[in-house]
Amino acid sequence: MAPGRDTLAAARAGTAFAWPRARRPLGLAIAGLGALALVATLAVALGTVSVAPGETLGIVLSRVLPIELTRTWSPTAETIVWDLRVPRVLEAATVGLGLAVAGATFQGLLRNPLADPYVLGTASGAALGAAVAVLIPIRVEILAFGLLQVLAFLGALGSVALVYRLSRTTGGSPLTSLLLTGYALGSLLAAALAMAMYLSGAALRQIFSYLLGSFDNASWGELGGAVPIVAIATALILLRARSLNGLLLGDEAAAHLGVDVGRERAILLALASLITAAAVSVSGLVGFVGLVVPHVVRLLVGPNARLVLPLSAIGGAILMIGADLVARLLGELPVGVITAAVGAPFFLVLLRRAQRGYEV
Amino acid sequence: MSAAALALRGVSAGYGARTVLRDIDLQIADGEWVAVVGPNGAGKSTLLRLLTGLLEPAVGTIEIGGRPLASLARDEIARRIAVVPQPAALPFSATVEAIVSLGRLPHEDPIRGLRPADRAAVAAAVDRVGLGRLVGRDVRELSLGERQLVLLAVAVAQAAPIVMLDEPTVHLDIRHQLDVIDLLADLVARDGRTVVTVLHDLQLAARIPRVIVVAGGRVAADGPPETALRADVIRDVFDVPPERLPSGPWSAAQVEAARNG
Repeated sequence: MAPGRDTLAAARAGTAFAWPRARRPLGLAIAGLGALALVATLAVALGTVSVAPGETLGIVLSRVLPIELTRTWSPTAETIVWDLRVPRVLEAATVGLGLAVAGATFQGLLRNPLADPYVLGTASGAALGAAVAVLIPIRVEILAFGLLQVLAFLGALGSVALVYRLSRTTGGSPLTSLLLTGYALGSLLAAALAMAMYLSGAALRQIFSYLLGSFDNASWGELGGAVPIVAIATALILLRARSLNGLLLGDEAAAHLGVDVGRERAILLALASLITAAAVSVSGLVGFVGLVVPHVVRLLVGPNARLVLPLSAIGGAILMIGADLVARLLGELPVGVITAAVGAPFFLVLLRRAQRGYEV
Repeated sequence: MSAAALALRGVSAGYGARTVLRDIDLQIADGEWVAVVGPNGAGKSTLLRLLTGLLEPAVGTIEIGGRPLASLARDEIARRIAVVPQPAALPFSATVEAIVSLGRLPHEDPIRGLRPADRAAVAAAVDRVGLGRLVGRDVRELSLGERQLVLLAVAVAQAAPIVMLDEPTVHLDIRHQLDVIDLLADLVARDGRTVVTVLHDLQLAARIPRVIVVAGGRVAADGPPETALRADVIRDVFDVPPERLPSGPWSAAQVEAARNG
């Protein structure tokens, strides 16, 4: 081929791909934050009890800003907006963000587009840990962290470590064996959770709420327990985006690119489990957010974890607030029902595509 | 003279109780180009894993640029040695450019990622391997051979003084095989890199200045192809009568010509 044509083709490919892709992530981040602000505002404003938009804004502003506004609203309206809806929206945002980041991390670490805290049984492990904590009649709490968070974390970490180990030693393709192991462990944990419910007596309702997944009990106190864990663990994962990128080509290739694979995998699995545990201990099992969001983000910006992680965080928050809003407006449904209704068909489509394209 | 780029002294290694390589002593000089050949299961891959620090020797020491390999952290090794592995399945779709960018991982800023100099190195690597027209394509849609070239570009972008390749030509058509050999020659001649490549194709190996023949966990022959790929080595190591192979250093006619010339 003449060199002129080669150069031309390269130049054309350069203009066609490099420019939009270089600018796209920033544009997406800005659009995402705008959408997040919009959906959060809607979620605070809308609900079964209607509070006028002006009053809603007044209540939030009077609480957030150090200014005195003339109170045109009733104390009931203030309680509904400030003590119920705002913490609920923030909690949905925290859980959505956390699950999406944890999902993106699991997918990168396990090199599996179908991994997420729910599919892997990590969330079930956390829920079981939380349920066991509810059954134990000891209450130790330092700040907002107690036995519940600790056992949820141990449950999440234990289940992900088990799934990871078992799926490597069983035969078959990595994709199938990971999914099957996750499924088997998830079923076992669900049975244990049912057992815990059976034994629970008075605490039945609380354990049942872990199974369903909802933000009904959202409060400022609960939020205070989850936000620091999710925020710190997310920041630490973001700092390790490089390792996730290296793992794209596999363990050995990552090592050749300078990644200490054993250490990085242990740290990242622990951080993603920690986020999952923090999310599950406030909201229960809300599935598929960690699966859907990173996948969509990857379609938009490619596999670079430096872009996938922050954009998934924004997307996860948007999706979860939106799903919770829909759930509330449809008559206080558990939010897990909405995310499953969206996520399960998505999962099936992904599975079909993965079976065609994933294995060589 | 500076320390050898790579040196193995009295190295034995294996997996668990199984010893794969025994008493290996090898020196590879800076800027040398070496082919490693041998029958299946001879220990070629184990040798490569030792040289890249993925496997620790049970006995003996390995040095890189005069420093013990075991004393270097993974990212320090990655700035000295680039490895071209066999193509593996990719979990997500990724453009050629995104994959080749991974070559800059050992050099990039942990927080900010690629800088303009890194992007320039990626673009140069893509051009040098001849992937310019595929740069925006999804790697998963490429043929195995094209993916092998992508991995080669990753190593070129990594800009390490030593490049090791595991069967870089196995999925390539004849033209691309020769292109890869030319590229390796260029990496040695123009960049002064040290190149170690495992090969199955003895005719390609015969084009490389130094050939190390590994068999039964030992170095069976080591030298220029005319001596390392002699007829008796081919017969003993590969268990093949040299007459059955196409012409090469092992052919009677060539040996005759070499003797007369």
